[in-house]
Amino acid sequence: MTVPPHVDRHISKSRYIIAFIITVLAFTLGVSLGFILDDARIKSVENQNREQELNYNGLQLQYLYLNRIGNTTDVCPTLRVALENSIEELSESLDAVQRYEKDTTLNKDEYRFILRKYLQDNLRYWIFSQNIRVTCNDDVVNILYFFSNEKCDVCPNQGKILTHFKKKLHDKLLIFPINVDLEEDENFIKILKARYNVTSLPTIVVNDIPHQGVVGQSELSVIICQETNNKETCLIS
Amino acid sequence: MNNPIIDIPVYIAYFIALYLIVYWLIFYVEKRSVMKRSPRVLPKELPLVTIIVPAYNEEKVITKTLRSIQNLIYPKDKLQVLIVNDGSKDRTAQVVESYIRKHKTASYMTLINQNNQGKAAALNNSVKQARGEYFACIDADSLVEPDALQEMIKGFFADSTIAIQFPVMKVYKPKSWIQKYQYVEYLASMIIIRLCSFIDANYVAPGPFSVYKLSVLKKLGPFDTESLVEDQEIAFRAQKDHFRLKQCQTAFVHTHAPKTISTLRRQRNRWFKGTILNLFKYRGLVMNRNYGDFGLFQLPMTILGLVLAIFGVFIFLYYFFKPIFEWFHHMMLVNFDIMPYLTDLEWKIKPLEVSLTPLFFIYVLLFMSLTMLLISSRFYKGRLKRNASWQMIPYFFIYFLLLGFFLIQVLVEILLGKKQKW
Repeated sequence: MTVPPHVDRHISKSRYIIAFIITVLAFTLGVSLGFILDDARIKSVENQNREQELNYNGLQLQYLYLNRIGNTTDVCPTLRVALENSIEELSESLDAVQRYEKDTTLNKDEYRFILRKYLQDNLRYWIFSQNIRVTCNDDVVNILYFFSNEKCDVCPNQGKILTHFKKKLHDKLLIFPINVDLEEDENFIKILKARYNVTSLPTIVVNDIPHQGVVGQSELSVIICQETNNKETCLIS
Repeated sequence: MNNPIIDIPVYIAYFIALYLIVYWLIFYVEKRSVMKRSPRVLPKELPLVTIIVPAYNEEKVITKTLRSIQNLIYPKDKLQVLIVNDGSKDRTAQVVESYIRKHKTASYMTLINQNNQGKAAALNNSVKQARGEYFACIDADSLVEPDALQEMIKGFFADSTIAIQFPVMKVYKPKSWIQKYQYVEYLASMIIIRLCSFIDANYVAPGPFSVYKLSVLKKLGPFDTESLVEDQEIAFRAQKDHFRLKQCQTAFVHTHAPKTISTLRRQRNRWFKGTILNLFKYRGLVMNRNYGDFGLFQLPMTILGLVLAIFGVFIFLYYFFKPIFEWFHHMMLVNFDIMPYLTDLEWKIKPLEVSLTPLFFIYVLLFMSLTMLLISSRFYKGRLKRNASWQMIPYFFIYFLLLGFFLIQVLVEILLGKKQKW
């Protein structure tokens, strides 16, 4: 029996090219979906910003009214709740923005503006909260949290510990994150750093007393206990 | 992007995976009408066929195999069946002898005993005694369908350029999960193999019932007794000499697939190792224009496929263990005070937080793979088992992952130079 002939080898170029074109199209579609999502995120953040602006204005009005009538027992509790809600909203959306920022490739500058806006909002609320603390004479612990995403490896640890206390103490604890990466644009950060003598990161300022380096769970528990007169707060922390 | 070291390779992997599946899909669309056709007739004068059954410790399954050979619709005087007992330690020889004694019609079957030398040596010994124009080999763990040989002979006569033909493989009565996954795997590979036939790019002549023209086999030389996968090695050699290998769409063989993870691991270990060594042995064919689509596409893609599989395992581990590790770390920071997290279990769906691009690629790839499987199942005789369709989804994750692990193990063994009996 004869041996069958050799195969004529071909290179089916056109098929490879067509497959390549389709793949490039599908791939581009997938990647552009990411960009579309990125834009949608920025839009949603901008909307949130507007709402937060209104919230803040509302709070300020209430505070003016409080000063005008001088009757703290009526206004203080509701004002406190409103402030607490605004700050919670702010911190939730800031978390989201920080996650978006990591995910973006095109809109880095856009996100920097947004982050600055959040920083300013946080500082406004911080001052506001201190004012209410005095006016209403209440027992809320304020923590300023200096951190950096770029120059500080252990900061996420401090962040997690702070989140933990926030989850436990709810409205008895207010945390105001200060992203030191924005220092160049935001002079206020420099002022605060000088005032609290912040030389290393992370630093937390608990009701005006700075603590440098990562403050662990048990340590922070003691500090919060010292800063509050409320036994209950002390107990759960 | 979070981490370019991980993201960039992941995106490259998406692209390659996308390209491969798009390629096969448009290939299918192109050949769709041709694939359905099989207007072939049986020649008046049927050729003599030698069927070899190499057997090593197969006392449990060999009777079924012999019965399936006897049920072949083919004149018995045109068959020469050689059962090569490769020094089995069990009662394989006795079982075969008593089978031949019991069945008077089985006189065309001969038992050959040899010392244990391996399957390739068993095949080589029987090639010397083969009288047929065609040489078929069937593993003792496989069963042929009655019309399989007839269909193959039709194939050879319809296209005289074919040197080696192999059947469609099906997993015999899948029972365990592992076997069911293999059922789907064999199914999935079928459409690719069939399309490969159009560009002469097949490089396996599977052990169960591949039929060779004896003249080709003599030209190619003996089976490689050193190779772990001698059926693939000879196919590579045939490709090297530009012989045509084709799958016969209408011939079906059922094979006993490994039932447990450990037996599957052993089988795949041998296959992967054999494939890698063969790719290395025939590396001259890779990216060689003289080998057309086989050299420029199929072989590089096979290598890339192996790389992708290993890469996939690492990516999976990274994405799977990273959150677990992070959670553990978090808990450690708060002295495992988990109460606040339990009271605070809020599940909000945040559509803006979904990473859309990877999700898109994963769905597209999944969708296209399922399409391929469905196309493939149309060509499967006996159709896809109804309960197999939903098993396809975990198939993509669990089974591929499992194979990836086996592959990594093989690579580690090769790199460490662990000697095996090749």
